[in-house]
Amino acid sequence: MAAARSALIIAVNDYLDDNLDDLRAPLRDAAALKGVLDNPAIGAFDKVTILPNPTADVARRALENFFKRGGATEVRVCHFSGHAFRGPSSDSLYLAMHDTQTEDYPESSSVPSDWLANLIKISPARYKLLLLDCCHGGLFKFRGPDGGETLDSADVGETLTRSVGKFAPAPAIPIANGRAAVAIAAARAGQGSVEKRHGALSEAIIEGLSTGDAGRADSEWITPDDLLAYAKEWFTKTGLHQSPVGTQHENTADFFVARNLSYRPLIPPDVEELLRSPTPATRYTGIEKLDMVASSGAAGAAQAVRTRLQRLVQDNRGSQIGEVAQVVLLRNSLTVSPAAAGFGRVRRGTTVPAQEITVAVPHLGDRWQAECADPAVTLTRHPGRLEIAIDPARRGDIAATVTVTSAMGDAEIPVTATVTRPEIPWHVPAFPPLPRRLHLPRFTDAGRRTAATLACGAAVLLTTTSAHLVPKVQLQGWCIPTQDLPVLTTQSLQPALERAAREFESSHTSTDCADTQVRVSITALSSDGLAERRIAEQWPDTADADPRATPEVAAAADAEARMAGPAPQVWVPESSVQVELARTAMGGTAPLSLNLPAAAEISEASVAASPFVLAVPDSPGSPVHLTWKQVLQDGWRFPRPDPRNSTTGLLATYALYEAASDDRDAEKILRPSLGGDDLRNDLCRLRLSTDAPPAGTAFLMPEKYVSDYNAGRPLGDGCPVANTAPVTTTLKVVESSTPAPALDVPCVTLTGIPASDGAQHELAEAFCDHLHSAKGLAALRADGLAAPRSSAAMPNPGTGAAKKVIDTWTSAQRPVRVLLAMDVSGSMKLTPPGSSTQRIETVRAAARTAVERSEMAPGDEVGVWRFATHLSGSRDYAELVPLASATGDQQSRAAAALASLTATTADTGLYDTIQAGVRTLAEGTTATAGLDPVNRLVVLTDGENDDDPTAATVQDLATDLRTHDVEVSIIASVGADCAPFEPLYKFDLTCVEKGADELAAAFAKALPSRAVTPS
Amino acid sequence: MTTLRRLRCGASVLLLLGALAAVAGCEADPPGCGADGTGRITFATVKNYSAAQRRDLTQRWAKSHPGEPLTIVVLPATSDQQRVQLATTLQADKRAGRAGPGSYDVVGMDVVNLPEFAEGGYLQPQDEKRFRRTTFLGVPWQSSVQGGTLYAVPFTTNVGLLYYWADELVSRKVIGNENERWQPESWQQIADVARASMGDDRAGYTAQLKSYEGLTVNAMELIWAAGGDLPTPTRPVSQDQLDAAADGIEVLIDGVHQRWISQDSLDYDESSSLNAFLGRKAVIMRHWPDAWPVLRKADPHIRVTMLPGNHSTTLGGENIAVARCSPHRHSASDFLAFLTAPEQQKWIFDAGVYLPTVQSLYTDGSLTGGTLNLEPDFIALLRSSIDNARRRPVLPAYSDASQLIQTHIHAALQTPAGEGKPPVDVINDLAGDLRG
Repeated sequence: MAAARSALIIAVNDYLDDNLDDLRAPLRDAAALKGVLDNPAIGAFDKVTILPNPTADVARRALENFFKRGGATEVRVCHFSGHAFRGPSSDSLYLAMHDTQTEDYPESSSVPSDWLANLIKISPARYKLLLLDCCHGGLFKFRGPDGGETLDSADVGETLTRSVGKFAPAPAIPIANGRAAVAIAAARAGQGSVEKRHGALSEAIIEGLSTGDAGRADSEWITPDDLLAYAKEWFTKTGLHQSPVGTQHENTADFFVARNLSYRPLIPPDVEELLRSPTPATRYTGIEKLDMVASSGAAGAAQAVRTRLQRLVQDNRGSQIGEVAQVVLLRNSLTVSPAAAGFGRVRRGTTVPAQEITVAVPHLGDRWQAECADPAVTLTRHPGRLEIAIDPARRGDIAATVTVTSAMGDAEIPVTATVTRPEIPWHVPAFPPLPRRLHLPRFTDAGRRTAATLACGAAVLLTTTSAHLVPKVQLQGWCIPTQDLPVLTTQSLQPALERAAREFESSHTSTDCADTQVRVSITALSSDGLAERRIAEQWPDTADADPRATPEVAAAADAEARMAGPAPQVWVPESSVQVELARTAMGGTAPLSLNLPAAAEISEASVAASPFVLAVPDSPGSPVHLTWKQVLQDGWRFPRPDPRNSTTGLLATYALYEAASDDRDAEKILRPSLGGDDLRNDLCRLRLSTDAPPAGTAFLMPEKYVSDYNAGRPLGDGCPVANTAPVTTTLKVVESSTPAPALDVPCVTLTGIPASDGAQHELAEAFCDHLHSAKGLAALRADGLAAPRSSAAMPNPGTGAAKKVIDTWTSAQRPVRVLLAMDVSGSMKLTPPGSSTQRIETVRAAARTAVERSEMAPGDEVGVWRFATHLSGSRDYAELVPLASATGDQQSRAAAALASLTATTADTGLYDTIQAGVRTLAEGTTATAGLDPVNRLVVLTDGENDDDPTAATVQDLATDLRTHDVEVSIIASVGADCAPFEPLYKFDLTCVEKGADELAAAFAKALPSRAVTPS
Repeated sequence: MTTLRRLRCGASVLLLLGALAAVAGCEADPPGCGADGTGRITFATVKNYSAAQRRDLTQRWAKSHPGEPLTIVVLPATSDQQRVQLATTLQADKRAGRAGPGSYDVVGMDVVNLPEFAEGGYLQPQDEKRFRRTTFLGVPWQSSVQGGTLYAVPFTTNVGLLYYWADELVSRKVIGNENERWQPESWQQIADVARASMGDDRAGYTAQLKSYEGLTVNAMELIWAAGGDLPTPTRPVSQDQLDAAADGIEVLIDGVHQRWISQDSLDYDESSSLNAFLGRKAVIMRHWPDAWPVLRKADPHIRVTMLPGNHSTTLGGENIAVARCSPHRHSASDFLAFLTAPEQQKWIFDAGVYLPTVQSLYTDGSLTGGTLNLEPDFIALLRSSIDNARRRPVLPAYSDASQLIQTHIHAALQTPAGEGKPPVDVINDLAGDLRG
């Protein structure tokens, strides 16, 4: 079996023909080249054969044998070092062997190049390289109908390409498909080739391969093209008067001759490994890491990252990975701002102020070039900016393109102007900045009318026919804004909107100070909730303050009004859910001073998207996949911002409520966010912390937040930018097949009554249109947002569902007063079939565990009763632990009381106990911190009510439940029946039938269990 | 015949010029916008008056102007947001040619925004015979004048001061005892003391160095103190001035790099810098006068002095003007007079240490004692500092210029030592941008 990579080196030092001088170098060339090719770290050839001083017959047989074998992955390199001579026809070349007779038997005693070319062409080996270190090598041709392509047709160009190639993408090394046959010769036709210690070409190749200098900085491999380019450089550098030349046949693939010893991977291998992972989440992490590599500051790394990202985008079109790669690629691309230089109408021969374009080349500092072919356009380059000036020498339109190029991408800047006829000299008095009243000379009434008529006529004439003669108020320097557009958004979207706003300003602002001058001012709040409420309340100012408010309430309202900024005309919240909540809160049909577009328009208003993802700190052993079930059961803890204010808090809560069978299960894994209403404060703490994050830390948040965190972007006003250190703990997106919601980022224009300011409304609409445009989208994408989606994996909650989430959350935050009423009637002594444990033992163990594990806040209360019949005089219940603040001691007392429960021999006074419990809870109700407490009576019973006839009835209970704000949760255990309570289900009463093994869970659900301080 | 021709030509030119003036006037002065009437007025102010203070002021006004009800609207918190709120309202009125339902009759604005609103044609010029220059402090008065026309009157003023922990300076032998006032003559002296005072858990100096208007204020004070300045599109400066400006900001850059200014300061605004100083995280702090009552009450070792330099303290404050499109410009102008009367000026000082602009109050004892119980020395210090103040770059697009200053300077402060541009390059780049 033929070796996969083999080389044949023919070296001829000694010649029998007197016309051929003996040479000194070929055998040395052969030995040195063999050393390089054999080297496993360089050539890694399986077999290298040297043919020293062969006769023509031996050489031909060896060559035929060498080339006629081969297979799909065969690499064949043949090197010849010796004399060559031209034949009778000027374009034939013969390689001289030891016994060659140049005059008498040039054909039969040599190796004719055409024969060799044909041999190579028909060789089945896939990749073939011929190196000819001899004179006239340029005559070697792959002739025939499919011809051959000379590689030396653009020497200069190739040299340039190679130089640029140090910064240009390296070709991918194919591993299959394609074929190639390349020949590199030491000299052109008619040129001699010299030897010193080595033949010229041999020395260049040996040096280039052994040092790695022949390779490109960004490629691990050295290809035939690299060798040719290097040989050309080497010959030039060495001062040789001969030119290496290449020719190729069927070159449909590149292949490597050797490893590039000087190659230092710019993208760390571990990142490459992540990128090649079959798991999308891992590839996503790889992309984030690529972004970090790019921001390391090394120019080559940034460029390599860009190249890699381009490949990722190309290879993953239509998938989320591709989209993410595209976003990161945009972030690592040259940007120009504004994107166009429009000079408008300018007069011929005038001096037109230059326009400035900011040029930002990520990571490469100021390495960029700009050019424009139009002689009317002059470019002046400054650090980070480009000044574009036009020379309006001729009437007509100027439509030129300035091309800005850099290793981080290129940009084209359209330059437009309309050059009008020159200004007619006309002396017009300068106008004061603010012209006062027009004073006409004193006339009689008749004269005044005549003069006024004449003046108006003149004015009309001038404005209609000679407007160009009227000087516009042209201020020196920057222009005065004529239209400010206040935009309201959240801090998470602010950088993206700022970028888009600057582009919008430049495209909607005239270079003439007298025309429209647009300024977009963005106010960013920490979350959407305040905006939603203030819009619903018609953006009240301090004049709307309630005069009866206490000083504290008035001060809070003032502070809120001041913090919320100017009344917005465009609102860009994170989600359209907020818009619909505002609409619902507005209610009514009364004329409003602030109006929202119709609901149908909102559904079309999305300008970007960011799906929610599960993310965890990246560490060995952190999961790559989590189901909702695992999320809910495996001890994960999620910081959750206030859902009343935070869109992220609202949607994350909604998703978890949807995933959990019971909202309370979801609440148990949620912890208050450090930031109150901005989850990014938790991310900030993670970024600044030097300690490993606590086990179980996880985030359910928009993908953009993950991207912001991992890329080291600012995380809101609450996160210091001055101390931003490189991210040490990155976040990993965990795969989850469960649908999650997404931010849909609508752009909403707000209109007033009367809607007479059409210009302002048009400007607001134009701004939203800009965000919808390709440029706007690019600005948003550059900041980690994705393109708007036509459909989300999980639809956003409707207003009703959103309000329900908020209500549920709010009640979860209310203090809870829980009274446990435990059945100790005689039946509790019974043991279930197959068990030796009394029911009372099972119940008290479950209840005690639940109390001990419950997480209560200082405002909560807990108490324990036991009940049967006539336990305390005529009362059916006895107070074991009076209802009191759920301090640690109180919880211990409750647990101890539960642990000591024993069954009696009495009956079950169930209804009386429920009635007494409801009344006790209702009587003790006092609001804490403005929140009414949740009163909850938890009743554990194993039987039906079997009290005496004077006891309370279900109807009595209905009356109490109707009157008092108390929840009743009945756990009917071991055969007890919920049916008698069905008439009460319309009140706040639930009854669940639970087996012994379900009791602990039932108690846990009934007791409050939530964190009250950020984790 | 010849005479007739001349006359006719003269009349034609006159009418033509009149017509041109009318046309040009339409650009800046919408026909029919506003009137010199009396009636209800709305005052938009940048000052954060409490509800009780607003009520008090409204009642004071009502006593003398019962038929002209007053509504007070407090503008948003930051200077930029205040400008936007005013601009959108005034622009809408100008476009409509009349005041809208939510419009303002009297507008209070940060001193830096007067050029924009005056040049933009949003403000009604005021009569200098009614508001006399000699009544007011000189530098604040100048900030109400644009292009030789009085467009506003100075309502309150503000100026930077230097606070320090006297006990620390005594221990460093900078001053002999705590009652000896320290008056540094240059920022270099401040830097020297700050450098000597820094410790493991505290810096020597702190200020408002977050990327916002406060940074512009702080940077300009150092630039001016070094004899430098920054250009505007209409006012070039020499390379010598730019070099001096570079010396000025080099103090800040050096401070951050050498850690006598903490990294945290790059995120500080008024509130956070005050808290840091109170927590002894810095020995010296630049702040505004309204910090003095708080600091004095908090710790007896804290003292206050003037910033160094000649006319190098940034002027702040609020100018009040009459909106051109107000239908009640007469009442509005009366309200300007009301607010700048000594009684109201004293009232606003007591309301929040908002510094009055009326000269006489600084010498007649009106500002000492009272609820704030301030000493005559402090009032004299204020007066000297105000006289030493200077306006920030005067140009209509001030906010754009300030944004550039903040961006360039904050980037320079954030760049680690040895990795950034030399200060002179920072200033030259900034100057290039500022020239437009």
